[in-house]
Amino acid sequence: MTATSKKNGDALVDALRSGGTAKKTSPPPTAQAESARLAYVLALGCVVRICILVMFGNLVHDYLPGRVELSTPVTSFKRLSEGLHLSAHNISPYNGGVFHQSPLLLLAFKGLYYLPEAFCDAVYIAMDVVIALGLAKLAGARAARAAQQVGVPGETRFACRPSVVAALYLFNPLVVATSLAKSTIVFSHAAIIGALYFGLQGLTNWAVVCTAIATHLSLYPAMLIAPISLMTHAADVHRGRAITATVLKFIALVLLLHTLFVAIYGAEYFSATVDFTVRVSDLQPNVGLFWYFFIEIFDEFRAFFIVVFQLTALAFAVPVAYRFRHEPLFGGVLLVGIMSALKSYPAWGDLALFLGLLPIYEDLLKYTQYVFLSANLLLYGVGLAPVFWHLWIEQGSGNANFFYAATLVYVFGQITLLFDVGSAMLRRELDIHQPETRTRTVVQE
Amino acid sequence: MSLVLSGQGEKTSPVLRVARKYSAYLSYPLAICGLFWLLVLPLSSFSRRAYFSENAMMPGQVYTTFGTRSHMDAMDRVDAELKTKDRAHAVEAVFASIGLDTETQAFTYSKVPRIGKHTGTNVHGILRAPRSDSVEALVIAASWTTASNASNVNAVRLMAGLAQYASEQVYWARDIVFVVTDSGEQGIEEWLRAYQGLSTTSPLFVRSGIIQAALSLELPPAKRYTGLGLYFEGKGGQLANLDYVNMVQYVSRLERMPAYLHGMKDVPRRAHWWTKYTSATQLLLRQVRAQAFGSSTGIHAPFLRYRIDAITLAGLPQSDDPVSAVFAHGLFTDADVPAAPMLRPIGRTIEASFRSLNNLLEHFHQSFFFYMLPANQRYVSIGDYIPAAGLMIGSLLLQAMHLWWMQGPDELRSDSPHTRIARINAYYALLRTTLPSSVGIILRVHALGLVLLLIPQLIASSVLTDTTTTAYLFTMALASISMVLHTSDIYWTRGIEWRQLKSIVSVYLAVIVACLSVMNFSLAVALFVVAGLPLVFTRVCRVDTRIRRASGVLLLMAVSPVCMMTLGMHVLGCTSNPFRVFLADFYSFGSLVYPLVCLVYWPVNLLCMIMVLIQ
Repeated sequence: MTATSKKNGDALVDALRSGGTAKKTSPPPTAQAESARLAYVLALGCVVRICILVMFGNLVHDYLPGRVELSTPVTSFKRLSEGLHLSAHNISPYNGGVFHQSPLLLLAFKGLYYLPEAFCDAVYIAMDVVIALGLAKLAGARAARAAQQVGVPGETRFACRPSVVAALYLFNPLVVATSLAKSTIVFSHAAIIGALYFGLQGLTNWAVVCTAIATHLSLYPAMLIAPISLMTHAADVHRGRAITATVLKFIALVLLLHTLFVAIYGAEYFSATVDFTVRVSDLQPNVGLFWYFFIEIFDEFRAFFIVVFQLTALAFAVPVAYRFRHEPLFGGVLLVGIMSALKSYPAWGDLALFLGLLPIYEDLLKYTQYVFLSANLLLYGVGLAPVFWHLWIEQGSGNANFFYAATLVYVFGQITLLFDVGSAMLRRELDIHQPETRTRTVVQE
Repeated sequence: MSLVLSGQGEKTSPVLRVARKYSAYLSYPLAICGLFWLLVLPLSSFSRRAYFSENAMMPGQVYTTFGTRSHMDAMDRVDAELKTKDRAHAVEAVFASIGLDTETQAFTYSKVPRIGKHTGTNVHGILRAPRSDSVEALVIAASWTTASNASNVNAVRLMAGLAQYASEQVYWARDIVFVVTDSGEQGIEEWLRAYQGLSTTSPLFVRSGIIQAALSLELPPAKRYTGLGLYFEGKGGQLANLDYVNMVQYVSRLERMPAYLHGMKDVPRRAHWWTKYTSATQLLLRQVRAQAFGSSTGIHAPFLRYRIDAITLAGLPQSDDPVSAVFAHGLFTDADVPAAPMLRPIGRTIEASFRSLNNLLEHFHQSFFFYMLPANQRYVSIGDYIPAAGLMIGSLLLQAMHLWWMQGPDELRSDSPHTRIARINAYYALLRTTLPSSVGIILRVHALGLVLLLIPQLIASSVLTDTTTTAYLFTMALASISMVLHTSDIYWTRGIEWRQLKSIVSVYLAVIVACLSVMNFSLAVALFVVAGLPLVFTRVCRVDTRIRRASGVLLLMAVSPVCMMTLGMHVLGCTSNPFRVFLADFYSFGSLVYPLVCLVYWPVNLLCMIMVLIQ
């Protein structure tokens, strides 16, 4: 054990140091070595989390779950515990207006409610590992696909190794914080990754199941059905029919789950979850754009602006999927980023998933133009939020405007990044398909 | 947007090309401008006259009555009780005789984690307000010893007198809590924890409502006081609301016992502008020191952590005061210290202040929480001083932008469309090989900082004295230097460029300074001066010879944390190694200085050295 782990350790350090060596000079790593490396990364991710829990367990349990940047009214673990407690005592969990999460989570945590807290921590660590593994698989599948596609003549093909993709996700501080805060958004993330992976592999039915689950967990992933339906492997003549069938299956499954939940928990589940997310009934501050605006708004305009804000987020599904119809996975990645920036109850964990998906498209990163800007904006957004929260809530010397300013910086950083990655993809497509533009300057206005 | 900003790929606007290429030359003067901005703050034309925002306080609108026979009797009773009982029970007896709800709180605490258990006793008495239902309270607090370790029995006597006075009145809308502690800030912190229900080991049972404001008293032995010193800085850089400070200054002047900020008297109005300027500078520097590293006078600082506006009033003896000269050393029992005959105007100042606090309709919120006070009854608001931080952050960011652009060979910066594809591929390949190395160096150096942070907290039962602290710091410094030499050797052979490293570190430091500047402006400036300025000027000129490299490293060692803390001992007025003081403040009050030294200042200094040493 010690000898092999030492060897793997060196390999990991090497991998991290060189950012996944797909350089032309180094020989491509064998599949076996790569999976060993991946296993090592996943194990190390677990060890780091367990170490943090063992050393700073009290601090983590007291401090992180209450952070508004990490858990929102629709993902808070405290609220889930309340729902579990109510339903364990045969009271409707949606009574009292505290619990706003999907019945799916209630069913999943039903057994855990009776077990010690350590099991719950274990579930969250396992979820992180599952997501990281999913990302690695996704990266592998996409790399295999990209290798067969035409590239730009004279370019170096960069492809992040699956183990590096997993490491970049697992060791992202935002991911670690989100999972230690036990935000239930991780379940939705796992479903999203599953949907994208199955979709890419042509397992459309599984992809639809995952999307439906993700939709029930956090509503916005419904947007993903657009790119996923385009991932169909059907031959061109049957394409239209396959896409329609996928969308119909999705709608049927979502309605089926809805009927099931209505049967178990009554119709009030719907107003407490989906309706709650759409109407933004709880204006607890978070890192999104909604709360401040809807605190300030006059009541008579509320409905109108809810429609406007929600459409701003949801309307991207079809155009983005259509514009990147030849690379539906990329459309999916962009939609994950759009959700993270524009949804009604976002948290840092949403950004973390988007950042985790980016290395899969490593060949686009060389086309990006504003990384310095967006990296800075995101750093200030993430750094200033807790500081302004401290000034506003704990110290009382600041006010809501402070925190909202940090939120604006954070969202602006995400939009810049989305814009940058999107235009990188467009430029690359242009380079591949329109050879005459390769030596021209393209200006986007 | 693409006209303003674009990266390696597309044709860049000429403005941006020039800006990126020469922004470094702008960043040096910008950093200097940031410092000069601070030098402008003391100018009297830069500050504004203080005013009251909260009209409900109505300061100075009442006749003050403190100082009747019964109040003096209560003060004398303290001396009588002190002769027969220990001091906690003496005070308890006096409070009880006045009719307050009293309780003593015995507690243990340690100043540094796992090291030494100290014990202490707090006594408090609550005067229940006749006109309200105990949901809000005001606090008067005193410690048995002053900051300079002299007896503070005068403050306790005055508190007894004030308690007697307050108990005779019917107009109180808030409970008044009188607290006496024997362990300074630590004691009041324990008391506050218990009051808020956070302490499980030494809970309080006699409690009142939410504390709206607190006033701490410090009256060293003296024959007479010429005025009061006013201190308002908390541990984490919090300041008391400006209305509170203004109000106390105003009423103290009416009572002919002026409260001077940090005990610095007014400069005559017709003085030369330079005299005014130097005096304002001195006052601002004292505030910066207190705000950045924690105030050492009075016990008001812990209150501010709990969102309670608090100040300290400290009596200022004359320099040739005979009593002060004899009793300044704390070798006498409290009963020996003669009662100061001049407590009446101080009492009336507090009376007037508390009448105003009693008038408050809500928590202080109208006036500034972020301010600097260059002279008595003048202020500089955040809008006028924060641009200095902006300039400093801007200089770091411009530097970073320039270096990020300048990394790699020159061909990468051409904007000919014909070489675009080759260029972006080469540029990304360069980032792909160098970026993990740069991040690797930064992580390693921070791991060392984490070790520096954790060891004093993990080692059990070792006694962290001044000598061992110094030895520890020197050992860590040696370890750091050897690490610097080792890593720079490795990275030299690998051909890693310093530009990328400096760019990343500048971005990182800029974020930290920005976040700090809104929370604790003084600390942000201090951090920029000791870590940011050296970073900006690292490799400002070529380091191609060994002598230049060696002198660069020596200069960086001169601004290293060990050096600065050794020098800072006198500036900060610490009696022991500042590292220990910071550690104790971090442990007891969550002060940020200690983690910043370990996790930001120390690593950035080492990274600067590495930058000088690599290619």
